[in-house]
Amino acid sequence: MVRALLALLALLALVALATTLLAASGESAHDAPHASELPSGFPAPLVPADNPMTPVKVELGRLLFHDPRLSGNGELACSGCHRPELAYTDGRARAVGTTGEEHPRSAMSLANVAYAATLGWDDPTLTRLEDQALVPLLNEHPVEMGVRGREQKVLARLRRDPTYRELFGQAFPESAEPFTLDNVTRALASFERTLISGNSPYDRWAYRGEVDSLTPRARAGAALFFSRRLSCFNCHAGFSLSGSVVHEDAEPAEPVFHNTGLYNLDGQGAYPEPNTGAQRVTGRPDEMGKFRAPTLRNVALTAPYMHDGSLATLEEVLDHYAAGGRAIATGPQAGDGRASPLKDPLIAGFELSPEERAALIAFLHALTDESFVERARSLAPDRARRPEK
Amino acid sequence: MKRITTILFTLLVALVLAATPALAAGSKKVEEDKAGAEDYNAGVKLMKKGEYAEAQERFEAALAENESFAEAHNNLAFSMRKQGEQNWQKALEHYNRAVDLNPKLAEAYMYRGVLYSLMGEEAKALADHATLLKLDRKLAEALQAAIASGEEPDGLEGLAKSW
Repeated sequence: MVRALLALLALLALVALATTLLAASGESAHDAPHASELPSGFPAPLVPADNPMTPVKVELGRLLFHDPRLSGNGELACSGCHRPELAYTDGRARAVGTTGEEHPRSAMSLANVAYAATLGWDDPTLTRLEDQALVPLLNEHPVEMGVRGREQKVLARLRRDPTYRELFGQAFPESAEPFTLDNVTRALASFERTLISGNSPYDRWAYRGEVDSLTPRARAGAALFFSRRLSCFNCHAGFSLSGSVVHEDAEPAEPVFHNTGLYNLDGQGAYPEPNTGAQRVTGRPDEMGKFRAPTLRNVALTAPYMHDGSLATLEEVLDHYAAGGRAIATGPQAGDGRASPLKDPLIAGFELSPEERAALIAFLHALTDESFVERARSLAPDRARRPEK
Repeated sequence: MKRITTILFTLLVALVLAATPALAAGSKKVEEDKAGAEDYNAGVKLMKKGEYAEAQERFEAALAENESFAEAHNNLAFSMRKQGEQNWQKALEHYNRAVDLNPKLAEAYMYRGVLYSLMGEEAKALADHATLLKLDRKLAEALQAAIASGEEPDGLEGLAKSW
């Protein structure tokens, strides 16, 4: 009888082991934000099996994200361009690096970045937050955080802080030398995966059934946003109101990029260098001017708009889409984007009455998640301030 | 010791038994043998052609043979709704019956949500959206767009499939 019991226990142990192995193979939601912590209607984000989330790693990532000592000259934190109070954008048309160089594109919001199938405006190959974090840290054209060539200096700077010595050790107990750039990006990615925004008036309407949470005007705007006539939701889709997403229980998403007819320099659809969209990365001529549809969550806080910040207000963005592209009459960027042969067929233009325009704007404002911004502010330590230049 | 062994064996047997019907329910064989399937499949063909009155007859025939045919209730409800507002209440009853019979029939929540939206019952439509999110996110997104815009979802992808 004892032998039978042992055999049964061995069987159960085998089942438990198999389950564990299956869970560990590939991406898993292990240690990701638990379903109970996610907003209603939100799926569990994916977390790479080789970088499971732990509270101490998220805390380390939070401190690093807001710490200017992470830049080459010690002057610019990640939060300098991803400002908490602006839903992690910076209010500029184009981001400015730690040495004052201007980036060709604008800083993207990090709200719900855990779900983004690709990262950045135009790169189909950039799919992991751990890899993405290296881009601003190491980029030299232009310099963003300015860490390239100063990696050891920056890591030594961090190592001098007793809080970091404790947190790096706890977050990466398997590392003999936990102060590495890889571990910095692992911690940053873990923190970024916690930046979940899902408590806007729109969310309360759509996912919690609070029918009165949208004002009548915003509700009318929602009707337009989801209508076939405007088809905004075809690109800004799903719970993330964005392009392709990845999450638990979802098929791997094909990244999608769109040319919205913002430029047409040569009549063939050319965009001004170096912002040629996915073409910049893939070299494919048909991907000229194709950019990712960013999330519209908190969009009222993230002006100016488009990849280069060339549209100042939400009203200008609506006018751009209503016209089916942008015509620039004079100057080096002159051209009629409406006639671009590379423009996405969905950008066909539409009529919009003044009342409808106001309703759409009201709807876009109803995507602002005040509690997310409040929490974002509270996550920023006091020292996280961009030094005046 | 003997008692512990007995409990553990009982648990294991219970687990195996519990898993068996779940596996069977997912297999195609049972579905093909379903009573009323012939009328049901004919109804689906008619419904896809937009011949809703004729489709209604076939779904009713399928239900006469097999009242607990959840998908037939779902498609009967759709065929009735498409014939006019006078049928909405009756259609709603069939959607309700469909989800009573099969609480995981995503398509029934999808189109009951559309019906609630047409009836001006937005809170109930959004409740179906919340349920649908747990069953089929893509359908749920289509339902949400339909509720928000007041437009009928494209195609017939929200309807239970034939077999």
